[in-house]
Amino acid sequence: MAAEVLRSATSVARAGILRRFRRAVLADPLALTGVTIITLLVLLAVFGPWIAPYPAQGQGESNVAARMLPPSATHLFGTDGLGRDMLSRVMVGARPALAVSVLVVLLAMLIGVPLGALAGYRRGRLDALIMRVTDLFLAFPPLLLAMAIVAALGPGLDHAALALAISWWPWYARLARGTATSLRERSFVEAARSMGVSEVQILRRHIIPNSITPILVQATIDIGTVILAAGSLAFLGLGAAPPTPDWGLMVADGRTYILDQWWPSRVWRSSWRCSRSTSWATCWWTCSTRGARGERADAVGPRPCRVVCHTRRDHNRPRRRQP
Amino acid sequence: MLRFILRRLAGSVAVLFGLSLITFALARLVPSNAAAVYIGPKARPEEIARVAHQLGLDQPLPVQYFTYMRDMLTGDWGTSIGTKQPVLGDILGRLPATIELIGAAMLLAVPLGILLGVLSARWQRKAPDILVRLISIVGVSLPAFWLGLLLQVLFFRDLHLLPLTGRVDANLRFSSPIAATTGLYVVDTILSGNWTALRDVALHLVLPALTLAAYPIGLIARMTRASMLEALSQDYVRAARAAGLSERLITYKLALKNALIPVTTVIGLTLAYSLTGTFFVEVVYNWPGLGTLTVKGLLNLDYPVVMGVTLFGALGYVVINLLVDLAQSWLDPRTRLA
Repeated sequence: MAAEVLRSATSVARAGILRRFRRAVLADPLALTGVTIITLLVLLAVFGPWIAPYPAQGQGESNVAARMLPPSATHLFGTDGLGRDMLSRVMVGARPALAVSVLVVLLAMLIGVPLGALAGYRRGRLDALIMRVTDLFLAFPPLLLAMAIVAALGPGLDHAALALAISWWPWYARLARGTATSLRERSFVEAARSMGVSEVQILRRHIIPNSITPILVQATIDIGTVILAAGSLAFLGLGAAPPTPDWGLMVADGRTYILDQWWPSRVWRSSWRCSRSTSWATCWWTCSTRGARGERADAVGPRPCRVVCHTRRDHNRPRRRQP
Repeated sequence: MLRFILRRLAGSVAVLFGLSLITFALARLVPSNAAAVYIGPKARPEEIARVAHQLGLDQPLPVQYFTYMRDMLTGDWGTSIGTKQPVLGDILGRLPATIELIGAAMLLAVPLGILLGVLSARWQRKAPDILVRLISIVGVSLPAFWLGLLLQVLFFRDLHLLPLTGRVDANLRFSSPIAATTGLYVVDTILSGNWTALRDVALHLVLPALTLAAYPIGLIARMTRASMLEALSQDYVRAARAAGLSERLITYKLALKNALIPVTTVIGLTLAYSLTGTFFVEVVYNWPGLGTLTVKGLLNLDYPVVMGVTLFGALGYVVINLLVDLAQSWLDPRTRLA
């Protein structure tokens, strides 16, 4: 009986979230665009190799007879210097791009969240120490530390991913620390402590699960940024090596021919849209859904959201009262 | 105020010390055999041992770190594997080109970004606002290296208006050479009254500066818009309106002044971001600055150069952040308490 009530309650709640999500997305053209783009990107990442018109060429098989063809009905994006169909390359390239950025974000979370939660929960010296370390990592200009790490390890996609994760984790540590400091004062944590639950258990069962929401929001935003960062590293020759269908590499490749044949570099048009709008879109819809839930949107935390929330807030701002 | 400055300075010194630890670790610990990397792929074992001794790699780590710090502080930043030149000399030689590029980009981005943001806030939810928000999303989203290629195609290949790459036309070296005093070509040509060269240099600067400015313009416009809206909703603005002050006076004199405080932080942030943003722009435009030096170093595994630039860039970043903090506390005394 009780279980049944609980189940129906959760299903009602779940339907509510979906409905609110749908309403928030439909009401906001920008969020709608974003959600569409994310869906397309994910679909491409999953089905890209199967729906690409020339899957083998997408993987890197060359077809020298058809070098440098301009866009046409058979090759919508044209072909590159080795005769490969650019559309297929872009489609097949979605999977590694998304996979690498998800991997980087997961790794960064794996390092950052436990450290941040520990710092916020323990406070005191350990907190100061961990925060000073994050300060150090954040004192490098963005991407520069990643470049230096790649230089030390040697170029390659795996090293680039590792380097990006190493320079990314401090953001998660800070975020986790912020929520952990406020959670440790809450009565359920105090109750657990007074019952003699071990510190690791408190962190694992109470602190981290309860501080995960803003971290996940940040993570979805970061996935877009990391696609861009990994592409940038590849553009410089520090990430994926040919013939991987990497978007950054494709732009670098297209650069050789751009003044005569402009279409290879055009791939980026599709990729940047996906990557950045992804972040914007997620940001928007998380903000909108949270706003709909009546929570303080600022609690979401991460920086781009703040800016967006400003713009959101002015939608909701009451008109000036007439005297 | 003095106490605040001193405390921030002390913090910066501590951060710099930590940064040197990280770059030291990257340079000495991560490459499995730094000496072998230094000589190249065809090194014999006895050669490796000799070079390892020369570089002090056979010493205990604390001793290595001590000599590393001593060398850094006395200006010996190591020797480039590629050019066999002192790294610090290479960096300082390339620095003016990068400073010129970043400076031009910021001179473009700050007024333009603030102007766009103010316009957007004043005509909120009207056509100018929508246009500005579109510009800022595009500016923030486009990766510099792709935007650069696009601008090259448009302005060089199609319109024949602007030069493709480089800082100055190669023929200019013979017809009207630039007398290098500051290394900033625009300043040098103005100082020496070399107008033909100034024209050429300025034309070369347009595209790279525009490419580098795209991101700051977007970010500054967005931040200005947000903080203008915040300021315009304050009570003093309402009071000014009630007193019958003109909307123009309210927007530009009252609200803008207060709205600019958070914008200074964003300007500092974008300036600091430009330190790496310039790398991609420089590669696209073959600009002879720090970025091309670093990327060449990265591709040739020339790690003394890479570590030198990393430390140098981090130094610049810390200094910029310090200046931003100081500017902020000067503008807004409330932040001094923090």
